[in-house]
Amino acid sequence: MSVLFLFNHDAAHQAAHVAGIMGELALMEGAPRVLAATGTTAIEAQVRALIPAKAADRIEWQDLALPPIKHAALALPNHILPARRLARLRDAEPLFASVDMIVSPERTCLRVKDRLLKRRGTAPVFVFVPHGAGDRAVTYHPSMAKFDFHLVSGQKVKDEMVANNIARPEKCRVIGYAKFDTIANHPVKRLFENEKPLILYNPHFDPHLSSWYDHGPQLLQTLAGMGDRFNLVFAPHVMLWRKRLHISPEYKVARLRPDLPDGLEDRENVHVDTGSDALFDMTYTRAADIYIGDVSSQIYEFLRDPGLSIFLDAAGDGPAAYPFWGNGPVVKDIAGVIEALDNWENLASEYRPTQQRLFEYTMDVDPSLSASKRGAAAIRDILALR
Amino acid sequence: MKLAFVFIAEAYQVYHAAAVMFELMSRDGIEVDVFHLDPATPQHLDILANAHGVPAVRSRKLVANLLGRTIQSTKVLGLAKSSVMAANEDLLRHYDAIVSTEVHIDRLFEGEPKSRRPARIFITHGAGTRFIPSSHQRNDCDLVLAKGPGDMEHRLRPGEIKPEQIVAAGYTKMVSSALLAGQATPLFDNDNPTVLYNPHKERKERSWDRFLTPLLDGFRADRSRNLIVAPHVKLFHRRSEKTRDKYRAMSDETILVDPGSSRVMDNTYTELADIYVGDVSSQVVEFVSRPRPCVFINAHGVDWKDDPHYELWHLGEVVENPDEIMPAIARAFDMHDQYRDRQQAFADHQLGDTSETSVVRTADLITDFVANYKNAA
Repeated sequence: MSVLFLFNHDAAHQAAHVAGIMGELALMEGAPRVLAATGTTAIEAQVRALIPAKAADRIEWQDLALPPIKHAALALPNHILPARRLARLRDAEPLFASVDMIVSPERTCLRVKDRLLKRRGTAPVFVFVPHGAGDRAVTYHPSMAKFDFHLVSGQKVKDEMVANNIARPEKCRVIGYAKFDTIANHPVKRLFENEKPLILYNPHFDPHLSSWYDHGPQLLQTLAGMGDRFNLVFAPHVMLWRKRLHISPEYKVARLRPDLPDGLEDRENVHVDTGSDALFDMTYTRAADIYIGDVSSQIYEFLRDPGLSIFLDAAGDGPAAYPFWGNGPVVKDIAGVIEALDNWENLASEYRPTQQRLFEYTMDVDPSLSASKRGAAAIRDILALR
Repeated sequence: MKLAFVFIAEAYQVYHAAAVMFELMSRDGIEVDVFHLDPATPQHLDILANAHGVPAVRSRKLVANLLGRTIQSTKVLGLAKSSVMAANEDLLRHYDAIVSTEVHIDRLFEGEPKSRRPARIFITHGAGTRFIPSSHQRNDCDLVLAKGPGDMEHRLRPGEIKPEQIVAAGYTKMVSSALLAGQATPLFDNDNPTVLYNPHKERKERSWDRFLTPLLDGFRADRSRNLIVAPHVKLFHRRSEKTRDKYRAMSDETILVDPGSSRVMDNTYTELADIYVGDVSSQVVEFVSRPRPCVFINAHGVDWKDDPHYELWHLGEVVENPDEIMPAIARAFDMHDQYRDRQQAFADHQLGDTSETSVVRTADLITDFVANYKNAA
């Protein structure tokens, strides 16, 4: 039996979810053959860093990097461009056909399944490990139904998969949130010299839903001016700073991203990060006492260790628009944010029971068994069905 | 990097390049200037800039030389193209690249070595499989940005375009279309399904003359569906306002007859319609990029089934007689299951990526190409 883990995405933020599961599977007694296919050598290095060396030694690493000529011919520099990703997948088709199972954090690989079925009449079992744990319907794309199994973080995602006709309940295995395992042994990073409570502002990139476009720069300036009471980290969704003109086909809206206000980075009480790996390795969600966001699913990473969460309703959708907005006050403007901050400790206690309930529904955390171990066990069980 | 976007044909061509142009304008280190010939162009640029959430774009009118001006005033002959070129070379020489939706930009700086002239970049336009000008035998553009793999393969005819000159970049017009549709006010006062009738101008193939009246009669008798009559933009291109008004007057609460407004060009109708009825217009390719029922009219009894020229007609039911059209529309939703996958595969092949990533990719292709072009030259 052989299992191939696909790390084909050009950005690292999807790797952590699956790397831990792969590591545990490789270390398991009577483990199947484990292969890791990576899109670039940089991704391979990142994935290796996320698992024990002993596990990495037992894994066969396959480089999907395109031959240099093809790479140049496609002329597609880095980020978000699926053309390279798709070209890589096509070239590796014989490799994919040779394994019993393919595990992936994203759905581009379904093209491989379609092609294999069309050309060879058979395909490996495809297992999906969704990244993020959001409440937004866009997370549930109809094509996801083509996966044979789903390893999900909690009951909520399972319920949503069933409700959206993506999968029957028996095709979903609840394993917890693998990203929590990979950071479990790392201490929370200290970002400031003082002990003041830390505010994290984490806007999304969607030009319709994100608070950055209409409120962000002014909000940052206001919060930066409250340095006597708070430290401030600005750590947006990694995609917000990748480009300036953002288009949302879903909401049929395009916006130019406003730039940061001047002078922000010189302030001692402010930390700005618009592009480092810390944007998705939970550095900031763990360090924060107060989370200000809009529609990012990183809220659930913050809620692992609860604090006050404030949501800016940029699209005017109302406080009931998303279940995760139940985790804190939903405000319409900067004045609403300030009002909540003035009373933040009381509000944090007030919302704590709700936060715990929603977190447990979303993230099935088992203190005695890591999500990675549970994921590895689920894979072994699914293989046994073959 | 300095880029010139040059629109020298009819105004509707800006829809094929605007999204990429705005993306490039938003990037650091890139200066973009815009030039046009058709006086309607700035108005369309304004509409598009507004939909894309970017500031209004200033476009400069190109200089038409004497010959160009003469031809331009004679609407019957269409717009002068190549004759305008020479007069404008001085205006464009200091750019790193000229980007255009018009293949004839390859006549700009003709015969000059690459090191002394801007790169010429051509964005293909038109969604179709049939309308690539065969008269233009050669293509001396340095980079051709085709839509999907089908568009690219089709243009790779020996002696015209070399493989290293062309890339399938996707179809960014659909991104602009979606943004425009998001701002459009509803066309009808009801939520009933809407049928788009989109006849082509080709006299020998068009359904317009025999099918318009039966369609209007059919929709007047059954108000459970709306009808948009939106002929190919060129069918009314050179008709008088009076003729257009005569057709517009056929509209009522569930019927909209539109002989040649910007909505025909900007895909408002193809975005909003639920069922497509047409003959040989390639707009259907844009329509099926989101698979939806189609009915095709074979008004001249053509033997089409094995003729590649009529490839599009395999994307829906084909009818030949006026009395068949209303029943075919009535069963179009039920018939759609057998066409859906074929439509999606066809659109993917012809148009390639129609998502917002096609915009970023095309812009990246342009900047990468121009950077290398400068280094090599």
